[in-house]
Amino acid sequence: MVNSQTAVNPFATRLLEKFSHAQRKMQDGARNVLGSLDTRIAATPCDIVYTEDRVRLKHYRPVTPQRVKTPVLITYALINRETMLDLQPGRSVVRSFLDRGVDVYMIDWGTPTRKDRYLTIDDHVNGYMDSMVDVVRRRTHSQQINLMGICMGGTFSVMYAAMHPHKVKNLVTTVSPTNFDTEQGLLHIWLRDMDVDHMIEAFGNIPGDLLNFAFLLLNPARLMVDKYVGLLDNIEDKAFLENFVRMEKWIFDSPDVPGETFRQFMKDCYQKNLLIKNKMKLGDRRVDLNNLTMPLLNFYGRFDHLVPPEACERLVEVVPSRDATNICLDTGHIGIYVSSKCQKAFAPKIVEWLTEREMPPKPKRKPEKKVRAPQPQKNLFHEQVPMDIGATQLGVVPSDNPQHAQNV
Amino acid sequence: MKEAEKTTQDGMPGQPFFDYWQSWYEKEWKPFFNMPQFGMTRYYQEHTNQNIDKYYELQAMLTEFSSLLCQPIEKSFQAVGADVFSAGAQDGKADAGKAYYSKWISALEKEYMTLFRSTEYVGCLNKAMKTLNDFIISRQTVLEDMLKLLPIPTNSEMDGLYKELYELKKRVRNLEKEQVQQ
Repeated sequence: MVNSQTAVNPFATRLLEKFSHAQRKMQDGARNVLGSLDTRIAATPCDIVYTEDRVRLKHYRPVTPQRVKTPVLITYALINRETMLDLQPGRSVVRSFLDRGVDVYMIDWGTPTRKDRYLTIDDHVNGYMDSMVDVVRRRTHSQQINLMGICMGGTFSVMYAAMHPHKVKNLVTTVSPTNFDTEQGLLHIWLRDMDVDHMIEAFGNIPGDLLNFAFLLLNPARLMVDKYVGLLDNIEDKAFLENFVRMEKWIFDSPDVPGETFRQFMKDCYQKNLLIKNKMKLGDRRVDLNNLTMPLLNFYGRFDHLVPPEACERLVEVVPSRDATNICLDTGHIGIYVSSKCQKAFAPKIVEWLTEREMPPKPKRKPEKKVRAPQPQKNLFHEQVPMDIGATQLGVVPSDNPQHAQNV
Repeated sequence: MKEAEKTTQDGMPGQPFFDYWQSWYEKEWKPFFNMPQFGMTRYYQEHTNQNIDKYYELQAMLTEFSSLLCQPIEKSFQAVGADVFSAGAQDGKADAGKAYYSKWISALEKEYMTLFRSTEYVGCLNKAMKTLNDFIISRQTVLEDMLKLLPIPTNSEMDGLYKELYELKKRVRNLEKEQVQQ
């Protein structure tokens, strides 16, 4: 009897402790949930300086004297919203840029309705984007702008820069798919044989909720179970809860995607991989990546399950630019913008890279290793930046792709 | 029915059941919803029957898809369950829950990744999307039949208008650009 008590009591005591700890945690959590939480997103002050149909151009109010002379135009994807770049004060790419003296403009694609279903990629790239670029150029009296693209917005930026190279001084692409012939990502596998025409016929525009469901299915164990277990685990932590709600607000705020744009993106990119083959057409014009002679900085995440490294890294190999750099960060698709460990390796690196390219061109020198036969052009830098060197200097783990390794 | 009770080793467990259900529906019920209609209301009746048919197909497909999505859950519980019971028999640790949860969630993630890359899953996903699209299109047709009686424009009518608006705007924009260039 005594033996059995000594065996049971420690277990029961610990169990009781656990229960009382959980109870306290839930009480604190309830107080947090029912109390006042600061869950505002996109709080950095900005002005709407141009509107065309549903699309708006935001200009962020400077907080320090401008140090990078050429303005930066950020193009977000049509999926989810650009608010992700300004999710919270301490983890805001926009705020980081402003603090370092960058003049920041951003395209807000708005909320497409059924009347937008016929808008094509051409309308977005050569229509809206071109108008926005012209507005920024006019407002800042600049001949060229720095173009930065996020995810699908990066793919659009690549197309734009290839079709209007004279307007783009530097191109920064982040987690932007350009090579769709890969099996690394589930989306690439799932979409290969999807009947996109049938989908457009049924839906008109592709509903944001349908896309959200597809994204959740990419990793249901983590995104539908573990994430919320994590929330319960930390619910007594107010700051954690506020950040969690901010992320939830952003992630489920998904506008519909215009039908014709979705159709072309799926068929020409995901199914035929035309962009990287220089065969993609917008309207009646071909997107020729050989026009990408401007400096190019290409970021991607090693653990990105949406746009895997293979979908991003080939771009620097196919463009003629001799100043093309890949930087692979040890994070996922969203972590690159919001994770605390990337706050130093992402936005500051971009500003540093842009600042270096604000200086007068250096005298031409022979490149150490060419990605492709150079096409010299006036007023362009011809400095070869070995891939991943920037990442190494920053303490960010460089890509382990053998093709990259030989360039370091 | 015996066929339906079998589970395959390589393919989806339960697939024979869904195949049996599908063939039973196709043979016994589908013909009723696809028989020719007569008289003045034949088109309306045909559209409604088609919609019911597509609804049943969608329900069957969603059940099959959901069952496929539940497989990793079952497999992960099986994988971790044995560990939990054997360890539980040895010592009743009150704080072992976290470790088991962590093991289970990793097993679940692994099972899902295996499933999502399989041809069975991709095939099932495509079929599910096809039946969903078919149902939405057919529902739209029935709704448009009803809306004809009311002073409300249908999606097809609005789409026509949107298309014209889109083309007109594009033409105006191009003309504006040409004018600016001149």
